[in-house]
Amino acid sequence: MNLRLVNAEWLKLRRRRALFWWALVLSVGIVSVVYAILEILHLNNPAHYGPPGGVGGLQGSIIGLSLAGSVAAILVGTAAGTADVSTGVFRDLVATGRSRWALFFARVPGALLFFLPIITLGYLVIAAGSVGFAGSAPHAMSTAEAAKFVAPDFGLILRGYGWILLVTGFDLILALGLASLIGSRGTTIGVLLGWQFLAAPLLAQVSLLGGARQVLFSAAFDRLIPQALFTDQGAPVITHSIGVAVVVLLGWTAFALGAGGWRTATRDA
Amino acid sequence: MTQSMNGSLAVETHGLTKRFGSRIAVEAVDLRVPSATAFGFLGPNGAGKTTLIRTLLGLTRASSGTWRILGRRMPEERAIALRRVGAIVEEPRFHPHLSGRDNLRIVAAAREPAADGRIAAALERVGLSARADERVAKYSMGMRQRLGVARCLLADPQLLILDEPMNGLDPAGIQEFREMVASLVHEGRTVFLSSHLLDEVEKTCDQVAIIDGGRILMQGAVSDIARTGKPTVRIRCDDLETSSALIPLVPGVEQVRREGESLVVVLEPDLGESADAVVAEVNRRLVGASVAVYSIESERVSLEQRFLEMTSRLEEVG
Repeated sequence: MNLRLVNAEWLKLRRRRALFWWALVLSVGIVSVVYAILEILHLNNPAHYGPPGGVGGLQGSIIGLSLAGSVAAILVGTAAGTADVSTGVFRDLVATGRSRWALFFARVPGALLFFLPIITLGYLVIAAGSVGFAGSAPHAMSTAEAAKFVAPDFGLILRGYGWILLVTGFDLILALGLASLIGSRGTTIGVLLGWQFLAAPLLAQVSLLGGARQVLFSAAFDRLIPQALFTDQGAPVITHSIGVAVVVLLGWTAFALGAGGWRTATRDA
Repeated sequence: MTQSMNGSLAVETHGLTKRFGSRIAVEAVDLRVPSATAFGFLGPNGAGKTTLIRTLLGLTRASSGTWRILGRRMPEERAIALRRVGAIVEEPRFHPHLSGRDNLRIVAAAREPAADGRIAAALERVGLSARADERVAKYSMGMRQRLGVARCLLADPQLLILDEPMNGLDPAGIQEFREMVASLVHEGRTVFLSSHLLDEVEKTCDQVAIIDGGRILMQGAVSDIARTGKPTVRIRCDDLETSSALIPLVPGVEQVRREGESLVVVLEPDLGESADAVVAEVNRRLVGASVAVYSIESERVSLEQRFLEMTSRLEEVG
């Protein structure tokens, strides 16, 4: 891995102000605003609105951050995958004699270097909120229900962070690979958002597809989510082992990187 | 600067062909670009200039043929060959949201580590140091051209391939560019310059190749190519009507046309030494017909005339 190339990829993304702010708003802004609103509601009417923190707060925020963070990851990944081609600089980079595969693979750590601090900041907000805004149940309820308002332990916070990194990092790599394959940022964003928020949830409900639905990466993420956060969830629609879930994610990653790299290596510059 | 390559070829192609489907963009090109020269690459729009450059650099795959850059076989030794090549293909492109300096950093990262240390000197050489930290989106076309040349210099190039580098430059910029090309050649570098500005190529380059329809029509020293054109003389006299009727009857005269108050007489090509005899015969006949001949001057054939002759001849054949 050529660190100078990685640094150059990071530089390209770092200087894109609009991309930076959108990624920040999606990863940090939304969860911050939601916490602020819930805390205001709680302060105004504590008997009706419980504290926004606790394990329950962490659970909801992790789901919210995974959705908004995925959108941010797709924006960053597609920008990294298409920046050189869309500006025409790809031709000049190829004309240096540098391997096209090396040019492609430098995009992945470069984009992760840009994105991971942002998503980490978003997770720090929700982790701090889940601890800082934890409290007691607003009214009498079962022990299990009341436990949701208790601050999560460090281990759970850490596992939740790992899962967020897995989901958003995967989305970034998938977006980067597909954008490099397709060559159009707008088209790739449309395809991925359509898949993520429309096609994949629909396919997951089609029982006719049976075990084939195991290849949906959204199902793999559901399998890998920290179970302690979702003790009250019903049985999953798609069931598979952790091993299969990992293989599914690795398969998608290999496909995205392989396809994007192949197109980068064979495209007319 | 690395070791001189005097006497060798910076670019050498044999039967280089590039097809897009059934269309042949570059056909069996045999090109020889001597090292340490300014080499002009001329051709009308759509002649195949940019396609040939892209093929040379490995930006697109050749359909057939072989070629070498700086003595290295392409595409097998592409990485080594292109290490000392700087190129602008079509108009120079940049990341518009980055500064000129950052754009150079991006490309320097794809080159050897020493390229980072050449950024300041390259910006200085093209006169962009003062504005290097502005976003490229604010640059004029001329500034982008100069930044493109600076990007080429990051390679410490033995060979610079510049595609229409004078586009967008004002007259002062063109003059500066011409001087820069001369200084680069003086340092022992080869400048391969594709341009439609024939006059500029004639002033800037020592060697030239003319391409049309994907084929190389002629290549060699600029002076040699101009010399191989049809000899032409300009005649001033008191009776243009009579002269216009008489001169075409002289053997060896191909064409007579009126330009203002004089006649331009184009002789047949390949007359060699006998061209003088044809001119003498023209003079004799005019004097014999009582035409007062004020002057007969040999016209210098410009590269542009030669270029137009060759490319129009091709159209006639086609």
